[in-house]
Amino acid sequence: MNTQYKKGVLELCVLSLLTRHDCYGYEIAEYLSSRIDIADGTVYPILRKLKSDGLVTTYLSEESGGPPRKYYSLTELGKDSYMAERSEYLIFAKTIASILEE
Amino acid sequence: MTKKEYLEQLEGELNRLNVGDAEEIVSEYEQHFAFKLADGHSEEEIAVRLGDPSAIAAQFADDGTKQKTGKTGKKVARVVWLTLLAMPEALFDIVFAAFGVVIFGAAVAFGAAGVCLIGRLNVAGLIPPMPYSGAILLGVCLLALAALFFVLGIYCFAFLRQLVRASVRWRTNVLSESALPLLPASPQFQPKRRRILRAALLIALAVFGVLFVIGYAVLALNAGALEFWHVYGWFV
Repeated sequence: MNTQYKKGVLELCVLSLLTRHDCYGYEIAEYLSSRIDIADGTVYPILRKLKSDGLVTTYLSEESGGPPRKYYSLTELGKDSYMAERSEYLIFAKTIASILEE
Repeated sequence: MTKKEYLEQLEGELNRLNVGDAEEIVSEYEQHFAFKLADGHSEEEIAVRLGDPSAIAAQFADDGTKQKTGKTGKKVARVVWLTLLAMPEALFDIVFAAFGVVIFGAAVAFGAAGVCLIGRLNVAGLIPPMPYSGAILLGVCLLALAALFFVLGIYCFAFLRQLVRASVRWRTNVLSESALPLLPASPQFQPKRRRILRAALLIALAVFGVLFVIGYAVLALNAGALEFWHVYGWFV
């Protein structure tokens, strides 16, 4: 599948994961690349874009031993945007599926 | 590719594409390596799974939909701006073209008058009476003036043509964001042609000046008066 096409959907997946709990970058990369066939490295540009769009914020958290991890957390704007885009996407996907199955 | 190579290449590409916070981005990938290494993967394997560093850097450089809509907005503004600018530009071009036509018209008129003087043709009695010695001098003088105006006319249109070409090139660059070299606004001739035109201009100017003075002197001597036209009754 081509990257441009996946990009928008991947953003939605990241937002979805973050509605459950805050995650650090590697966690998100692992989560997505284990389910969708993408290069691990493509997740970080998406996170940066979500941050610059104001949908997520980051904070550093000390873990036992290792270096501080950068956690990503949904903002209010991110939550609203996720809810709106989620229903939009589900309707869209349903429509496409029905067209393809005609 | 080793971890070091990968991170260096990524940082180089990010800097080349003018992506902000390159260091922060690279440290994120460094952490990714650290996590994966702890899980027992090799550096090579991790680098392959991450994807080509230049492709990754390109994704950071491309700010997605936000930048794209900004670009189209800019493009519309540019088209409006260029259209507004084209109006005075077109007016200037038209006036300048008219000026060039007038110059060529003057060249034809001077040439015709010169031929009439030399050939003793008096079309519709327009040529005032004068001795032929003065008429032939002034005739050649007028032919030189015709040549002078002809060359000036050529310069005029060469200038106009180059102006239009330079403007079109500049517009193409602004709209397509390409960087073709800009063209100079001054007229461009082949070196040989430029030399010929310049020589013709200088010779015509010199012939005109010298013959005008000699022609005037001959007529003034013939008539025995500086204002010889009164003697020959030109404006009666």
